[in-house]
Amino acid sequence: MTDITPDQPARHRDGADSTIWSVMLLVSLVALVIFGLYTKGNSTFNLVLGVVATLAIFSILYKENPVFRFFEHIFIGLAAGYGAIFVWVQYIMPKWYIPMVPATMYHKSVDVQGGGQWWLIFGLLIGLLFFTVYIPKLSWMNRFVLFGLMGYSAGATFQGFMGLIAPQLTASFRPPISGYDHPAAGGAGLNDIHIGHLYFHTWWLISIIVLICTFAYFFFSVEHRSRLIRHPAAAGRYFLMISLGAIFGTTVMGRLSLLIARLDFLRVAAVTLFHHGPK
Amino acid sequence: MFVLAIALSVLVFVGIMALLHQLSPRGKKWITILFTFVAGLYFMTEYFWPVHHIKDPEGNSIMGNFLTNSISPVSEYIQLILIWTIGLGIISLSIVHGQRLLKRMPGWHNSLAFFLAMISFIVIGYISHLGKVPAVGAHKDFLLGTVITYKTLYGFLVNLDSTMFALLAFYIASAAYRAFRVRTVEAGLLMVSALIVMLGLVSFGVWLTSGIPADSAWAFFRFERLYSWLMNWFNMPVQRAVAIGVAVGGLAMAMRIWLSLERGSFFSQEK
Amino acid sequence: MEKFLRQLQSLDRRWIYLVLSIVLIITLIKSYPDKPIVLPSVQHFYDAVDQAPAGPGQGKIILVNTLFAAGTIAENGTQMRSLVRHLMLTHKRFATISVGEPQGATYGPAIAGDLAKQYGYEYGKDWIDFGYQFNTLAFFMSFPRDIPGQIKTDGQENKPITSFPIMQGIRNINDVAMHVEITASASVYDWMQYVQPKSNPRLPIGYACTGVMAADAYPYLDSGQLIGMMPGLKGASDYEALVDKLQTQEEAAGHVKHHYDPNAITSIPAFPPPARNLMYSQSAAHIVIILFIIFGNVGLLLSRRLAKKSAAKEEA
Repeated sequence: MTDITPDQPARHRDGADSTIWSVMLLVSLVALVIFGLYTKGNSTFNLVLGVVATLAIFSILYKENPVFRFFEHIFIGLAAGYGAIFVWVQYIMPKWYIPMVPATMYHKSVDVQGGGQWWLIFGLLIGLLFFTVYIPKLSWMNRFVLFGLMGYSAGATFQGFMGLIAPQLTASFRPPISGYDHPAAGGAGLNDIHIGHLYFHTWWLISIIVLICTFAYFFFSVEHRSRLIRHPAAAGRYFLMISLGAIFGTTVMGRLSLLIARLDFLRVAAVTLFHHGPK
Repeated sequence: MFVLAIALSVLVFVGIMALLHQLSPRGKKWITILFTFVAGLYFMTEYFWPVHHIKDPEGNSIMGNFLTNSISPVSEYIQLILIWTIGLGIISLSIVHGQRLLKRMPGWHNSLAFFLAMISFIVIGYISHLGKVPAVGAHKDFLLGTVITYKTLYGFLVNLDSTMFALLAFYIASAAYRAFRVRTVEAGLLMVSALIVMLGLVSFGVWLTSGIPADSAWAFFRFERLYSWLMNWFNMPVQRAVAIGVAVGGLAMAMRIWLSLERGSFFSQEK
Repeated sequence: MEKFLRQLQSLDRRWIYLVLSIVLIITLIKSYPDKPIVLPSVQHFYDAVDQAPAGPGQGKIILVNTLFAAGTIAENGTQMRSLVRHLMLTHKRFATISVGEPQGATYGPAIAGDLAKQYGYEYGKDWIDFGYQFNTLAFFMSFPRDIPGQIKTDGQENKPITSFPIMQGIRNINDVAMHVEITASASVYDWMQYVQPKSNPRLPIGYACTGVMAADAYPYLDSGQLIGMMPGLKGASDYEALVDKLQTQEEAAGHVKHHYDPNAITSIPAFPPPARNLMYSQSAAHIVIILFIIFGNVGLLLSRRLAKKSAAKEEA
């Protein structure tokens, strides 16, 4: 909810203040629409549209340019429009409007039970209070409903904490020495050390040490002066670096997969358009 | 009767909000605090109140208390309140781009494209019922046209969305090159750990250490084993510690919000 | 030499983009299917789906939450494809749902619908779509207690959910044999926090996530809150290898009539090829990034040594 006042200087983008670029891009958009109508949205047109969209977005990699900005704004518009209409058709209509309006007033044939639940109107009325944020005199109503929902979420946080974290706490307390042999730790192929009829679970001990050291690193209620807390905190920092490196490695894999899929689309499009020919 | 019920409901609601609006800023603040407290108390009570055998609305025996059977209808009603927030995002975007368009600021053509894209998708999506409307009857060709247009626009969105995400791969590659400089021990640890994970996940890394027999004592040094060891015995306890810390902090924050103890420009603004 | 070292450390990023793109395009044009070593977490996931009591006559269903958009279809889409193939090969009844992602509500049923034609699955009897549900705390509070009451109508035909044969006897979360979360976000934690504690016995949750989310989930794998995990494209590739093996066995035994068609997904434009083919390119990309990291560090190391030598010479 930002205000752009006339006194604020506009952000400068390549070609943003160029009339020629504005006209060219808008004319191209119109041409694309006319071409789509002419081809009746056949598969070739959709493929070409996909390639144009991909290359336009990738153009930012070379440098900032008006084509990228133009397509970026089209993307934001399409995403916003899709979100709005999807929620309306898939959720608001079947779960609010149809149950609320009596069957005699709703003329389309929909095989749904219910109807006439007039009290659902309060869902809209209370929901409309969110929009009072745009009216400064009434904006306290927005805080009223927002804080109510935050209170409701806060009440559920205890439940969430017990559901999510309590098992983590119990899983952390494992005896380093027990009378049971456990399967190879985490697939690393390392077994427990067998001493008489007891088993020494090396990796559980290491896991507890790493856990405590990481806690020590983030424990700021006490100053890190004493050796009892300073050394574990230092070790915790090193363990944290190892974990961050692991996160980076998996992130690289995740991000590259997206690029690979996109480039594969371009490859398939090239083969389809140039090898098989337009349909 | 339905129309009357709706009209009365609207009148009652507007009347109540108008009455509350007459309160002083201090009064409005206390009403908000009370509403927040009651909303949170509902779930807290339902969770902590002792349970016993009760009957659910279908007559089945379940463990619960006097609030358990009301959880479902209350939760569904809260969802019906929250669905309208989608409008907030649309309005905010429209204000920003609308101002840019009306005042002919630099980049106005981008804002025009935004509006054209958003409005066309909403209109086509509504008429074609998200591309599922049956093309029958007097307007068969028109409906078919809207379905085809919807699918074209949707395909366009899918391509733009995927490509935006694909850009991240390039950025992470250039970030890895620029930022991964081993200047300290910590940076060295980070890099070694990242290399182990990156090689352990792909067949090249597996091939590099494939010469080590899988059942030998040295099998630990195969990249896929190193990866599993690192993720399960170093990454796992660190992530657990972070998760526990964040959850405890979240709990403290939840208490402060529930009891309206939180301060700040958003929480204490009175108008 | 100094100039070269400085250039090595501060290469224009556009060269990195170009090299990465060329390597990926070459490996995509000429790719080889990966022969993966299956991760333990993926094997556990596979075994859990195998053992889930959701077959015909067992009275339960598997719930598949498809919470992904076009941006992550390479990872989540391939995961979904392998999972649905597994469910259909083992005759498990399942329901697709999308809690909070409009595009996911389209992708999940589209993938299931296309594969259903290959495996002879019937909508309403063997699988069903719960459609889009709003992602709020309220949903997680009411869904476990009363599934038909929360869902009301299906996502494909907009009919009352209780009118479908698959929903006979499905009342609450205890009638769900397993929950699978295919997501690009941290949505699985909502299921672990609010839904799993309400189930008896404890609801097994399988997590099919993007690579970015994988590292955060290991504590939950260790505590048993997650029964298994498919991390990113690697997870999809491993799972695909297991399912392909099962497919071969089923075809040899005559339980499956048709050979699996990798191009079965036609409803979704530009759906990715098999994950194992994409892993070959992934491997090449990792090598490129590692090489660039090494170049940068070699440049740094050499320039430091050079600086030390020059400083020593000046002192002398």
